[in-house]
Amino acid sequence: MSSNLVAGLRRRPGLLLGAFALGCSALLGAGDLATRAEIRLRQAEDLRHALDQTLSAVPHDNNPAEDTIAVEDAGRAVTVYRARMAGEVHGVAFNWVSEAGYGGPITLTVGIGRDGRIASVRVLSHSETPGLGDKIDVRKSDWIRGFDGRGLDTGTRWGVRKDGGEFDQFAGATITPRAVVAAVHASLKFFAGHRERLLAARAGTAAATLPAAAQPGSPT
Amino acid sequence: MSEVRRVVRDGLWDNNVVFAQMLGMCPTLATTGSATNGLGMGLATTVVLVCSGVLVSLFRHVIAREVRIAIYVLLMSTVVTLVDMTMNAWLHELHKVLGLFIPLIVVNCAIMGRAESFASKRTPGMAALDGLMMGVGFTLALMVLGGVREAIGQGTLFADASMLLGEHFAFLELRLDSYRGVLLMILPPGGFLALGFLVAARQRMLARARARSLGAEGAVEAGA
Repeated sequence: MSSNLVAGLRRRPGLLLGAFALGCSALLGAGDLATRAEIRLRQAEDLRHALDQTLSAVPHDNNPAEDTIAVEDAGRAVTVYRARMAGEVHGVAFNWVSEAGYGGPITLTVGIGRDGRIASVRVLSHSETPGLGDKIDVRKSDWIRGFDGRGLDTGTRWGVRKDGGEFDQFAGATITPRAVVAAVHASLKFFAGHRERLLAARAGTAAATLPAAAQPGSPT
Repeated sequence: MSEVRRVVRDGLWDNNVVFAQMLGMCPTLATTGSATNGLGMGLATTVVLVCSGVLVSLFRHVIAREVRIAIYVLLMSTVVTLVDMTMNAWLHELHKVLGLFIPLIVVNCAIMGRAESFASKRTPGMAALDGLMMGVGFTLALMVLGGVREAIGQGTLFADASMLLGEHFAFLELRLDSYRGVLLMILPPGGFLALGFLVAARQRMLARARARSLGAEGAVEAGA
């Protein structure tokens, strides 16, 4: 940079600030371009890993990540991954976002068996307080395994103990487990509401969506 | 004392970000529920301190006084966002653990403090060294604070360190089985309590060192 230009910019602070804003924006744009593809790849890996974990108890011989169906429910678009054995759907998994988290949205991957019971739930991403709310992560605590085998027909009281339910809250953190319990409950209702369609034997990707009847209590 | 030694001592002890300058209290108190979290926040902050220090120093002759704060903010938030994206792409496992902390770095006024009081007046090399030392001092302080809170609060030390550093560091994780823990120490008030006692302990050490050096001088005078 020539010294004339530098001296000129120093006399016009507004222009200088503009120049820095432009430079920083360019840097961020370049950074985004350079990392976007790689981040997509990593997220696809995370998805595969999450599906492996949530559908491991469901017998299947297909690749659920490629057997998807798009379902719309009360304004919420859900991509459902289906686990099949010999063409028959034995279970499904899908991501369910709760906006009721303490630090931001919590994304769960929920695996549900043919019988409408939870096969497994895992937290895909969250921003809960480290050391308190992050016990929903299976790497930190077994709490999330408490949902396994439960369904709408198992007589489960869906709530944390403080609210009269049967799931433990964490010491110092009630909002986070409350949000997760409510989200798992809502995801079971979602499954029940679309059961026939989700378990339809037709293989391959179906993109068409049925206008689903809004259910009481389903999140918007 | 040489300038390099001065900068090293300032960052690690004499002018420590947490215990002496009392800067960056928001991330300090928020993330020190455990030693591992303190370490994670410290490492991420160190990277940003070094990068923003070098950038501010490189442009120190260009930046006009009137808009310097706005430009520092711009540079820092750019660095933080770039670090976030880069880690997400190429250090994905680490990003999953540290990802929570990275956006918090923007609110760490220690970075602004170093830009204003050091990097804007020194060469890029010295600014990098200062950023590194301030960062290491910050990391150590956060680890000590997190360790104290974690040990008293839940009877563990470096819990989940293997998630942050890899399986080789599982040996760091200690656990007292019969200890129930004092939850208060993990919660925000515990942060203030632990920080207060640690600062008091440091002050006491300094006062003692001062008294000793005065006493030694007195003895020399008496003997002469």
